[in-house]
Amino acid sequence: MTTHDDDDAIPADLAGLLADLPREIEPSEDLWEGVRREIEPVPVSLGRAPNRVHPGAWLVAGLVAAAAVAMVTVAITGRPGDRPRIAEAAPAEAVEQWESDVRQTTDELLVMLDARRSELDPEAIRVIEAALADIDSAIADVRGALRDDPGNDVLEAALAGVYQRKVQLLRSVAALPNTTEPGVGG
Amino acid sequence: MALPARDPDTVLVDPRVARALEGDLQAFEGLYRDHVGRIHAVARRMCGSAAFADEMTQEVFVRAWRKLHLFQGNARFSTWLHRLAVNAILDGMRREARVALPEGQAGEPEVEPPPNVRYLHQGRMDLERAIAALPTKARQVFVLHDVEGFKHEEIAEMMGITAGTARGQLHRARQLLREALS
Repeated sequence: MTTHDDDDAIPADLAGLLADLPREIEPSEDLWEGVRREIEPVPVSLGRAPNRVHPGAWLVAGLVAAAAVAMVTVAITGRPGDRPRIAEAAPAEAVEQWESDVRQTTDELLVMLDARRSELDPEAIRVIEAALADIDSAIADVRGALRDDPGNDVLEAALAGVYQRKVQLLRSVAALPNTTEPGVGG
Repeated sequence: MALPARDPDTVLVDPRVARALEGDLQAFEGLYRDHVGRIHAVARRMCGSAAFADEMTQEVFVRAWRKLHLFQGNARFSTWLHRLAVNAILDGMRREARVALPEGQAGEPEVEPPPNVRYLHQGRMDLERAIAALPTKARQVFVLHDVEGFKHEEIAEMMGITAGTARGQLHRARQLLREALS
């Protein structure tokens, strides 16, 4: 955004009125809750107290993966009526650079997961690995679709969303308590 | 996804941006609170509809969260957000246009002014109404050029039109506004 050229100057009869327009107009309602619902991480809580495992907790990681896969399916098939919250189309190089950065993050988190493998509940590890496999499969699908249709902003948004879910899942795993230590979790 | 290294002299990044990049929703909410009025003003004037402007404003901040990693820090966050908002609003209006009636057949434009200008000076309110009543393309160009300060070449790139077309739409918008305000 720059200032106007002289030949594009605002005519005097409108300039006065325009200068008087407020720079800010508040929305008709507080939109933050709607924004927050769209962007907040999916809660993943796999930590458990020994002998008091809520069965649903083990499904959360799977649901994260399922959500990622569903989102990709919608992006690829373009179900009518859906209006995904998309990111603006970025050049292919920018997408690749971004993907490289995200992969670095996920790789670091995967190293952390490996390092903690012996501390975590085996069933949790199994569910997490299945969820990660589903997410990686979704990433491969949308990557393939992007090769056929580079620059498709819906697919780019889907790719970003799936990676976001992978990062969320891995960060949640990194925060899990050590279940092998006496007294942990209750 | 750390912020890239920058020239210290040009670092204009609000520290909340870095915290938001690390997933801090509270930091991002602070950014939202600081900028929502400015962004909504752009949306309100470009869309000509309060309800759609609300929807677009929400979408802008969702998009900003998802694109935050692309913020290079060599410009003010407000400038980056403003540009992102304009692109998001134009995209949203294109989507709406696919299901809307052709321009000029959409009936009476919404004339309800935004709540915080309801009691302002009559001339200003008339201008807000007159802007809202402009045909879509003319309104978009007028708001981007005369209100937001973009150049024709920038507007042409964002809207996918030529600079000449942008100039023509601006001329048309100004003429219509003069007629509406006379």
